[in-house]
Order: sequence, then structure tokens, then C-alpha cells
Amino acid sequence: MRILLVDDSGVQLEALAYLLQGRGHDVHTAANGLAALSKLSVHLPDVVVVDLVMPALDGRGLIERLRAEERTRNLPVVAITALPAGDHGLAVLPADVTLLRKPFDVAQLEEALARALEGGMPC
Amino acid sequence: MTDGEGSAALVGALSSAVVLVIGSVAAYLLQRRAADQKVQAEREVRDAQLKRDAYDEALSQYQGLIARLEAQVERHDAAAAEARRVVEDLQRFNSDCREEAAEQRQALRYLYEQVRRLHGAMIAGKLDPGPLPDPPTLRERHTKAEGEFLARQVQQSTALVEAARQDVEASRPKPPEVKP
Repeated sequence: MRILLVDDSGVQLEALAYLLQGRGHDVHTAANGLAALSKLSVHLPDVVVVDLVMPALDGRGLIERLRAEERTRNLPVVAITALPAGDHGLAVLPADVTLLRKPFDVAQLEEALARALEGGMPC
Repeated sequence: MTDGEGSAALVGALSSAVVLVIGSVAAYLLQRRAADQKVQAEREVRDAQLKRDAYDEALSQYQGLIARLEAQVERHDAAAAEARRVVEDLQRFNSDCREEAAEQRQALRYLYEQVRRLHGAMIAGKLDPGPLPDPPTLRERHTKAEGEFLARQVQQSTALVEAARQDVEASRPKPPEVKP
């Protein structure tokens, strides 16, 4: 599975990329929403994993930009966040975005990826 | 030569021929056996060399793999150190935020006191100020939410780095069995 990981935490980004690559996935990374858009303009992954709270362009902004463009409108998205349950930021997420709250392990992320792919429309 | 003498000579000649044939066959068999043993010895030497080459190749691959895994372990140790620095930064940030929040609360209390006085003055001046707004009550909830956010980030970083470390350790190969 081709995965684009977007997170401003270098530790989490590197560790997640290592763990997912070890499970056979093709992983690319970006440190914020703007860097992710730059990568998406070159290659489309099967799924995007995006942290919601980031500098530059945050996760919500990135998801809005993805949904606004024809090419990325149906791209499956898993949103990861440390925001507490009930936070306003979680309530405004699109219904087709799979939400995964931190802390999670790789198995839980892979389940979320599978759910996102099942619910996502083919690009 | 009598018949008896002729028969004896014939028997002698035949005996000599038989001995000669047996000797030749025995010599041939001995040579053949020696040649087979030589071929077998050469084959064993060749097989041993092939096994040694394969073992050297596998050993070289293992050494390369171990070097790469050790480099990964070093990277993740560095990541763990960075995680600890991030935790320290977050703790400092949390402390700064609390100080900032305390100043903001103080300013808010001052502002609310001014509003309350103005409200009272307007009532005294027979003006309708409308209802007095409630004092701000969201402070504790916001502080709790920020604390939970930071705690979850730290838990996530710690858990992922630990999982990556375990993966690296699990993929470290056992040394190959060395045959004499």
C-alpha cells in the first residue's frame, strides 16, 4: 500500500514510517500540509495519513484542499490527532475521513487504513 | 613328443594364459579403483569449496545486514533522544503557557471588574445596560484539554519509538552455525 504520512513531529513521522515500511508498505512523508500538497502533485498514494494539528497548513486545511480538487477528492484519508474527544476540531471533519486518536499502535493504524480504503471511492 | 608330453605342455600353456589374464584383470581393476578414488576425492574437494564459498557469501550478507540494522538502532536511539528533548520542550512550553494563561486570567478579571463597575454606573445613571455577562468560566476546561493533548503526544512518541526499537531487535539475525 502506498501511504503518504503527514506529521510535524519528526519522531512520530520517522518511527511510523519505519514500522509501516517493515510491514511492506511504500511510505512517503511530509512535515506539514504544504509539503504534502507538493508531494501529492507528483504522486498519488493509496491513502493519506494526516495529523490534524500542524504548522503552515494543518490537517483540516489539507483535507479541505484535497476535497476541493477533482484529482484528490476521493483519496482515502486517515486523520490522526492528540486532540481530546469532543474538541471542536474533530466535529468539523468530513464524514468520510477515518479518525484515529493518539496514542495508537501500528496495528490500530493498519485497521484504520483498511477502514479508510473500504470507505474511500476509487480515484 | 609323446601324447602325454604334448598334453602337459598344453595344460602348462593354458595355465600360464589364465594366470596372465587374471593378473591383467586384477591390474585393470586396481587402476580403475584408484582412478575412481581420485575422482571422488576431487569431487569432495570441489563440493567443500562450493560450501565454503556459499558460507562466506552468507556470512558477508549477514554482516551487511547487521551493519544496516545497527545503523537503524543508532538512528532510533537518536530519535529517542529527540523524543526526550521534545518532552522537555513540551514541559517548558506547558509551563510558559500556564504563566501566560495566568496573566491572561488576571487581565480578564481586571476587564470583567471594569465591566461590572460600568454596568453598576449605568444602572445608577438610570440607563439600561442589559444583563451583566457571566464571568469567564472556560479556563479550567482549556487547561485540561491542552494538558491532555500534550500528554497524548508524548505517549504516542514514546510508544512508536519503543515499537520501532523492538522491531529492530526482532529483525536482528542470529549468527550462522559455523561448521568445522
